Amino acid sequence: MPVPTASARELFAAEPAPSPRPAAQGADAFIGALKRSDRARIAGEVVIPPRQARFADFPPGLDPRLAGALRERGILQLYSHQREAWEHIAAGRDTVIVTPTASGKTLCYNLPVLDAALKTGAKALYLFPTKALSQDQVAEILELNAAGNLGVRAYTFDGDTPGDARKAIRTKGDVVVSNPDMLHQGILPHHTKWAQFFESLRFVVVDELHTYRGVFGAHVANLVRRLKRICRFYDSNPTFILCSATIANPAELAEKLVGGPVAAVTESGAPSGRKHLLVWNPPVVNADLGIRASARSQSTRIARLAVRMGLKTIVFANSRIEVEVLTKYLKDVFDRDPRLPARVAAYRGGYLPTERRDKEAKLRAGQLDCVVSTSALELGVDIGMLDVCVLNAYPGTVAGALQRFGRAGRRQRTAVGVLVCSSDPLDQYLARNPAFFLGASPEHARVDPDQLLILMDHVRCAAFELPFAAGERFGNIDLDDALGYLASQGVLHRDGRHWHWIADGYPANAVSLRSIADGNFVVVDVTDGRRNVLAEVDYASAAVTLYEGAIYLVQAAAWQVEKLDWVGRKAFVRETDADYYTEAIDYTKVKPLDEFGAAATGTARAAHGEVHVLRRVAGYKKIRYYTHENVGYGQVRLPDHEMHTTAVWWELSPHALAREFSTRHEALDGFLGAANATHRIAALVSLAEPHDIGKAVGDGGPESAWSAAAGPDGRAQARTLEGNAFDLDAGGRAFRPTLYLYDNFPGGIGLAAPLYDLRDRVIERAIDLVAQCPCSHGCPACVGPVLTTDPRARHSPKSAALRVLALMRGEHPGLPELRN
Amino acid sequence: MSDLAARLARLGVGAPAGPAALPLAERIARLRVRAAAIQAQRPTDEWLAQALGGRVVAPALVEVVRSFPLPLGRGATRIESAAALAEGARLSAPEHGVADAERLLFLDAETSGLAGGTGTTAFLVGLATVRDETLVVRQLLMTGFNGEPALLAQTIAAVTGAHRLITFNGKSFDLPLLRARARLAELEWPDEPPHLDLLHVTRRRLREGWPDCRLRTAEANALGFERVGDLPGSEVPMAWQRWLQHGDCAPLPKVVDHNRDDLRSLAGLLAVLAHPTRREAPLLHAPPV
Repeated sequence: MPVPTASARELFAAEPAPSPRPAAQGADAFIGALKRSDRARIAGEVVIPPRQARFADFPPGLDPRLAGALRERGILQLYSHQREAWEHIAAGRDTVIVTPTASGKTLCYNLPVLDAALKTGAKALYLFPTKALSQDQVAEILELNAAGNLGVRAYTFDGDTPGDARKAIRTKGDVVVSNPDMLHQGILPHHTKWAQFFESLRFVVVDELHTYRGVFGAHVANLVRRLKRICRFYDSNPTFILCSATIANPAELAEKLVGGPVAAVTESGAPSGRKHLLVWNPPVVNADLGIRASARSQSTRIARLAVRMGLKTIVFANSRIEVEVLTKYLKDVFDRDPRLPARVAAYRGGYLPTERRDKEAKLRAGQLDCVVSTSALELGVDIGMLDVCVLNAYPGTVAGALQRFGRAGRRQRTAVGVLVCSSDPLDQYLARNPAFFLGASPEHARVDPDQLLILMDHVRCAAFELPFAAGERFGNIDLDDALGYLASQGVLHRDGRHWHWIADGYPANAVSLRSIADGNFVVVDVTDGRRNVLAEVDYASAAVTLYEGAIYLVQAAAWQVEKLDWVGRKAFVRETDADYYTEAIDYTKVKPLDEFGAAATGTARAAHGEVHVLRRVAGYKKIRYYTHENVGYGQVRLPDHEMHTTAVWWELSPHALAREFSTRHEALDGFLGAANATHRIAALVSLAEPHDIGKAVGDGGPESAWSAAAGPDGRAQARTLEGNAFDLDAGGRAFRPTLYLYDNFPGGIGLAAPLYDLRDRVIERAIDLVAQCPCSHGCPACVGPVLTTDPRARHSPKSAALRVLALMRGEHPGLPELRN
Repeated sequence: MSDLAARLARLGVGAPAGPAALPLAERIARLRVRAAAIQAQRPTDEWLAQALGGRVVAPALVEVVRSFPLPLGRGATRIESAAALAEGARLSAPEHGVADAERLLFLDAETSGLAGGTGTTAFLVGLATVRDETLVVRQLLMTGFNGEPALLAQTIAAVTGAHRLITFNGKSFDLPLLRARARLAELEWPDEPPHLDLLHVTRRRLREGWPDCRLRTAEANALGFERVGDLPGSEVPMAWQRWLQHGDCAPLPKVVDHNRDDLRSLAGLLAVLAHPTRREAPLLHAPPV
């Protein structure tokens, strides 16, 4: 188990640790070298100045044994944010701590928890998302125990805990470290066995708060409601301490999760060295097609230079294959002589624990010069600090990128972070708008704790755990109604003031914290006889992404779906190096049911509310990379998907449409392109995966008679749900094209309403995305694949999209100059 | 029509099965009307107690008592005397020494489900003791949840007075369940006397050659006793639900009989365990008594 002693001293000690090389020069020289050779590739840069530590004294009431233990470990003072957290927590406030990696956030919660344990025997529950992190946590507490002879008992409690140990942990544990799934299935439904623990429970610590968003977040928010309910039964009222990576709205997310006000500690008092961040765009190697050199080639180059200059480097890649290829390239350069110790190592979750411990130790000891890793090294695990961090392609979120960059940075030295952009449209958007990434405007994490289907699942679980009494509240629904509904299903029985669970069964077993209702699909890699779970895909997206023949991408690596077991919810995939990707041909019919809000300008009307979505996947296209030619079709036979959810939508005034577009098909081209661009931006600003949000263009009239999709030539076609062409121009029909962005989960997941609130910004950014795209008439990066080009630029799909977007913004198109 | 039911119905939850089925909200409304009618026709506790041959001892709590003088035949064996039972208890757990026959407590609960967890209820608790060479089987059945505190209180009183607790799988199931229910009802659970779980004992001392170690199998092999017309254990939860939701008490006598049978077999097993050798255990071909 990793034991962070030496580096802990280095981080927490007031005296600077002696450094073997002159401070800062290495990194500056490195940046200089990069600029000299490849200045044109640097799309953006920012220098974050160093920050001195801000210290605070130990709190005056701190138990002397604990103070002694801290001193024994080289900690003589606290950082300002650790003291700030202490004050909030001592006042009984739920608190969220938002500070970067390696800023001593663990002490923010360990200190009050251990202090209370020593003084009053108070207990604490820690919730971590992974077992490795849970074990690290327990190790930390044991260290402090040893240093001060404290005698506090900390244990992990999860699926791996042996049966005979469980009773001891329940009755004697002071700090129990577990995870949301275990709390949900193993602890709460057996809470009477934990009576002693809950009676003395004073703190609940929730780490990695930013991961509790979307579907998972809604489940965990309800889990917290159940936990608080159980605590009330035992007359305890624990304080919640949450830790989050940098997102735009940590306090808001924390409050949604905890169901009440939360104090936020956002200013770190930990010292940090100077940080130099670069956004790096590979050079164009084929100007006609707009093809750039691979991100991989650039990452290798940059890492090579860094290692040659004596800088310790970590390269993050987004898939196993990428890690292996990059490692090979670098080993070819640095580890040619097998008699010498390796300088380059690869790291990923699939390696054996012993192998991983070995590499972690070597990294801490400085024996490795370069490590190439997947996201496995993004969180927690201690590997010491490095000088240079290279991200091979954008990891999908700003928060994730910043966490990875956090691996580089030592005291007294400049750290360098380089984001190497891939050809993925999102990466290219960042290359053109580096301020979005570097300007620290991270995403908003969205969660809707009252998502109806998820809430009902947890009402069931809560009803099993403890009978509801008339007049109780759970979330923001009419609980009486919900309980009546469950009684009608035969699981509850009302007896006087209480609703009792009477069915056979154990409801927590039927609720997965990561899916809604119909159950997620699991993507299983069966290449070379393996059976690895690659990913989970929710039910709503399955038909569109996992049909047989589909190319399934995990960041830049590709697999092909060989077999889809619809009933068993499994997709079996095999690695592929096909030179095309696939796109489902789906007809989506969206019909608004209820409007929650609307706003109109002279030219457009935006609204949000509840919609009915029907989606049918008819087949798919095979599209070659780079050239975007359509190289084939495939059939798909899967059930239709129907659901009710929330959405935001835009319509243009008929007057503006008629004036601006000479044909209805041209307008439709524009709408499809606008849908593509706004969808991308919406996912970006919502901290959501692109498939969490659905997009559709269809008839906004009462019959929802047609929907639009790109035909074989890349131009828009209006079709009925059966797939027949719909004649838009036939006599006297009103033309009401509408652009929909909907939450791709039954019942919605809380994305549509905030998007409606941010609609102006979404449209603005979408305009930027399209206008700045270097393509001539449109491409997948901005408006979608376009195959035929019309020499009259005014009628290109790209210009049509810009005109639609400008009208949605509420103005007459006086457009920014098209780039070409 | 409830707003929530309407929203759930729109989300496709609880969707009707066939084309002629009613919308969800209307089904709920009809169920409410029917439930009220059922309540009006529901048998009273007194009526039920009489049908079971027992009496109402507290609101929503029925007690049924049956006495069986010893020696008592059970299959091909006999429970000879109170002393035999005491000896069976001693040999099954010699570390606890000699037991007082009249302080043995046999316990078996019928529950609303088999999965465990705080949502499972023990709605019938069977307690058997020995008094003056008679096996007295006392069964407590709650007819609604307001009878539960009294049910638990009586069970607690019985456990408090006992020197040995004898169950079949009670260590993993019945006792944790009762402790959980007591905690929910905010009743203090007593310190338990030494617990002889005959599942473990028979597994250790008698099991050779048996296909499994269920009570039914132990009965057939160690006692030579085959039940006729017994309610399978898996149907017990359903009987409870039907009573609560529909006022249908037809299966309840069978549950009570089943529980009584369990307790007598438990006593029978303990008597068999009074014999120190394993040779006498399998009685597969002994004629029924």
